[in-house]
Amino acid sequence: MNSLYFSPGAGRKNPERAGMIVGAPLWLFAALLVTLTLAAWPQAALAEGELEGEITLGAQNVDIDHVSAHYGKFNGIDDKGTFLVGELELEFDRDLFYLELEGKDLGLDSRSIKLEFGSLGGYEVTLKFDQSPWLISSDAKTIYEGDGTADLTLPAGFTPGNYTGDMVDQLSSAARDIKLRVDRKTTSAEFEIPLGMFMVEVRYSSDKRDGTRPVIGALGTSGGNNRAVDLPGPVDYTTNDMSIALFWRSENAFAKLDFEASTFDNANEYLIWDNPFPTTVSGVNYPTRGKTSLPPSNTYQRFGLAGGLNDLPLNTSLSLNVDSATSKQNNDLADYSYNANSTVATPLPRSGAEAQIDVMNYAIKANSKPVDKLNVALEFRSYTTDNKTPMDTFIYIPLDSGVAQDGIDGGHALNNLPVDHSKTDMKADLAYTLAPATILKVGYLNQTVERSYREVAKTIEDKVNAGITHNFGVGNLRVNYASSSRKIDGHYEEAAVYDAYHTPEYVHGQNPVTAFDDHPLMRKYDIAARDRITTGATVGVWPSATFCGTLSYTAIEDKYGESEMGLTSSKGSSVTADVTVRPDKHLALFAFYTLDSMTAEQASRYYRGGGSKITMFDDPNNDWWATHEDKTPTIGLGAMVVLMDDKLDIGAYYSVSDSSTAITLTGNSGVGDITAMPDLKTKLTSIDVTAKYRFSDALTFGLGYAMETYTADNWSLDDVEPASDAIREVITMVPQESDFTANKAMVFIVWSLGK
Amino acid sequence: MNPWRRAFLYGAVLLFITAAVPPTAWGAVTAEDAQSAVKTCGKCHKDYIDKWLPTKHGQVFTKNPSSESMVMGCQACHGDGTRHMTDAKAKSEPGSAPVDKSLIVGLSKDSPLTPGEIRAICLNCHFGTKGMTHWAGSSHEAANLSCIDCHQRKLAAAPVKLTPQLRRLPEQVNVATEVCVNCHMDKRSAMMRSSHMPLREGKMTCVDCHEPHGGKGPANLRQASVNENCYSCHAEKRGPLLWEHPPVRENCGNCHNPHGSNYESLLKMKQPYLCQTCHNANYHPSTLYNGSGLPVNAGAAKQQIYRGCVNCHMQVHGSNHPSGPRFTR
Repeated sequence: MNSLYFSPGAGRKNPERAGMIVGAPLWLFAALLVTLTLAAWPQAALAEGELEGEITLGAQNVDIDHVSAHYGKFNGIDDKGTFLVGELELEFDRDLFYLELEGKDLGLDSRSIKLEFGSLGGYEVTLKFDQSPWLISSDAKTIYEGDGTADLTLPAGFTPGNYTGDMVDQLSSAARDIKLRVDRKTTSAEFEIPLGMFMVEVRYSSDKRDGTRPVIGALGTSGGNNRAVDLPGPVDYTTNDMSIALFWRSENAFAKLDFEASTFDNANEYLIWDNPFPTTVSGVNYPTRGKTSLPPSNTYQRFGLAGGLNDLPLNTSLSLNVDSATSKQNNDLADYSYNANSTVATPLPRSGAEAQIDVMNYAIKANSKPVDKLNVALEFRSYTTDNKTPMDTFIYIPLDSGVAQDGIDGGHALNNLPVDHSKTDMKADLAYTLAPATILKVGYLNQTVERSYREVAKTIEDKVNAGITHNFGVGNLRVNYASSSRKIDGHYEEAAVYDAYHTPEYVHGQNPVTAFDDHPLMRKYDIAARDRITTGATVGVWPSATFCGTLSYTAIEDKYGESEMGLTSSKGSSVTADVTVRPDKHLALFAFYTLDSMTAEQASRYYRGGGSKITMFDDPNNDWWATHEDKTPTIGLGAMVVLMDDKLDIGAYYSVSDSSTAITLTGNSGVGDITAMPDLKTKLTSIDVTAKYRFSDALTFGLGYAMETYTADNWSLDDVEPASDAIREVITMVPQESDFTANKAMVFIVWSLGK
Repeated sequence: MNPWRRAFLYGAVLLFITAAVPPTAWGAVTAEDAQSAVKTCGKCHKDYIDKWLPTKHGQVFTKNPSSESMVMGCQACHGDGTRHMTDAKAKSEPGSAPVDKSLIVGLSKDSPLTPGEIRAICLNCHFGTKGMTHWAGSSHEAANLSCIDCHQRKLAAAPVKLTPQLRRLPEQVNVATEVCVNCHMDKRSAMMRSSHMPLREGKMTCVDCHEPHGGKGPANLRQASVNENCYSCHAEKRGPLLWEHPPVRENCGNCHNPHGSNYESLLKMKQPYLCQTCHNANYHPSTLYNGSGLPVNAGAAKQQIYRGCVNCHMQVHGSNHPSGPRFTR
């Protein structure tokens, strides 16, 4: 059982604070509290109807044909077994005092418990404890010792090999089973109290994550000679959040003032690991040990003000908010290289990251009804970052290789870029009631985004939209259309990044024609010129109280007209048919079918570096294209039946999500032979049936059955065995996605109190 | 200033202000008044009142009303019932004409009130309260939704379309999620994909990220930006970092689809092609990786299989290592 800390930044980094342990997990405390509550009041409370609720107890047996983290990803079940079913929902009230206790999944690693008590219309206290497992792999294998710590070592006698194929026997014999999972435990407390026209709210939460997750250790000096090993890295995170807010409210105005502070503490900010490959491969130096950075500890604080006014002239209401936030991180920087053979002539420009980003966010929104038939919504929003991280030149050593450091004019002399962006939205939406049941909507949005250290300094997007809704008594119709155009203000200039990223000494030494990293014709899609069409239509009908049907279609189509390379177009659409039939209160049937589709097209050009770059980068013979087509039909069916004089409730659900992705590749003659790509496929099928029979007002007996099957064809993982020679240059740890069939049977009793 | 010190400083200021302002009641109201008003309606609507009384609304109205409108009991929402009572009394004999429902404010699905009129009734009490500070001008208000489109009052004769009484997803899915996907149907199918957030499993709901009553961020997000929203759970990604990956720092949604994906880690496309939509430097970033050697064998490219580009560039969210500009350390 892990201890829970009430101290900010508790952990190994701040041992003096870690002493402020205040007790056991909250759920234990809550369980104790409810036990005392029940012990103290049960007879009187039940008699007076003060205590009511449900307690569910039972057992579930899970049978999986293949151990799979995919099944228990979020509930922690990673193997067959029998688990407790425990749920509770209790409410107690006496006069103004009330207490509510809610527990879910109490027999699983995903349990949560919430205790809320207070005075009706007065103070309220909420305490929560929540566990969230995240299973990454149940059948991974590693050759490393010390998994979950910040120092990973190879077993004694391990002899490095140039490729995985040279280490087959060792990888096989040294590999041992390891579970990759991260367990998250969150404890939180909230208190609020109204004080006349004011209300104060205080919140605190502590989120602790422990476990082991994959971290890649890479080696080599280029994409041509690199090696990699998947490492069982440590997770030991503690996040403490605290906020306090003051609300004020009158009949027609309100204000909120709040402050929030958060600290994230990672007990391990670097991972050190043995290199399983030789220290020299084809003349390239690799280290004996590597050092990889892990997420750095950081802090965040925000001050906010929000307010609103109602009943202004022209039937106008107004809301606004202003937030000022700061994120900071100043962890000690590691040496350029962990490899003692690396020659470092130029020291680090500073010892700490000194990273800081300030954010200013403000928004004002208004809704007005100047005349009876017209509704006007206006919005102005601005979000601006101010990156105060110092910009320095770092002459890096690639991947702890034992090379001599470049000079200031070398390709490894790079400047860290304190990127910023500023986004401003101005929006107006008008809705006009054409007829009592028909509303016409039109709108306009202007979005301006300014960025530093990007290929585009400023983009401006204009969007117009129109729609109509019509209610026709037994149904309604909604149709929406929007067209937007994002334009670049100025030019797309790869050089804007290249010149800032590299040192002037390096840039001056390059041939201006080939002085670029990404091809000058590449247009990164988040900043490229784009035309977007959004369409949507929904028809809902309910001709009687027993039938309801909906047909819905949405689509977003993007065209990047100025992008010769990069993403050139994409279209995503979703169409759904949804039907519910409820002939009477004893039977309900429902079904839906959704087809999600996505098509994306991209273009690029292959070219080598060095002396070939100048001839190849401009040669369209090396152009290639990829088209991605996703299709995901999803079907859901369900039924609810009430039988035997309303004593037997049966609920049944079936769903299947069956996705496939086809990637089609084409290229010009210089690209060479192209072998067709296999399709990617996943299929997830679920069946869930629950029956509850009510013996009496106080006792219900239940049975449940659930089945889930998962299959996947994934060309990037199929046939990959962990710690094997499946990939020449990569020592893997996680196997292919596990197909599985899981069956779950459940039996439970629900004890209803106060009924 | 240390954030914790600042937190306590602001806290102290807030508490001082709070303590300095004397508690102000909305009026001289008593629970007895409210109970009396409800009792009057209960003479005819006993079943309805019996169901309503245990609800939070019922409890607060009848035990600790905090405003003059609450003292009016049912009339706080349903309007002055005088004419309705007179009409009903006059028609109480068997064979009388039906009661004129237009004389009382009905709030069921077939209410003659417009969504705006229904909202106005709810906002009488809920204006500016917790969670409602960004309602004015929000997308759901602009879409002319009424409160009862989503909120059940536990007793209404619910139509088949929307009600927690009729669960159309397995019980482990949170009711809030089910209410949202009634309209946002594409999100229902998205959360059933192989890579998804734990909404299907009930460990998360739509409202963990979105504030349906109006959020301060885009798409009604609770935080001011997409990234700040993501950081609220993924604080390890918050940084800031020495080496930033610019599109990552600006918007996690540039690469991830939070509602569900067919690819690992909620990615929008399969690696390495996703990365190649932005990167085509010389050599391997501009290489066309085709089906040669697939499924995996010794001939497949290491940039294409297993973790793809992340096989080496694992610090794709940014690096804090001085030798991490290429996101490999």
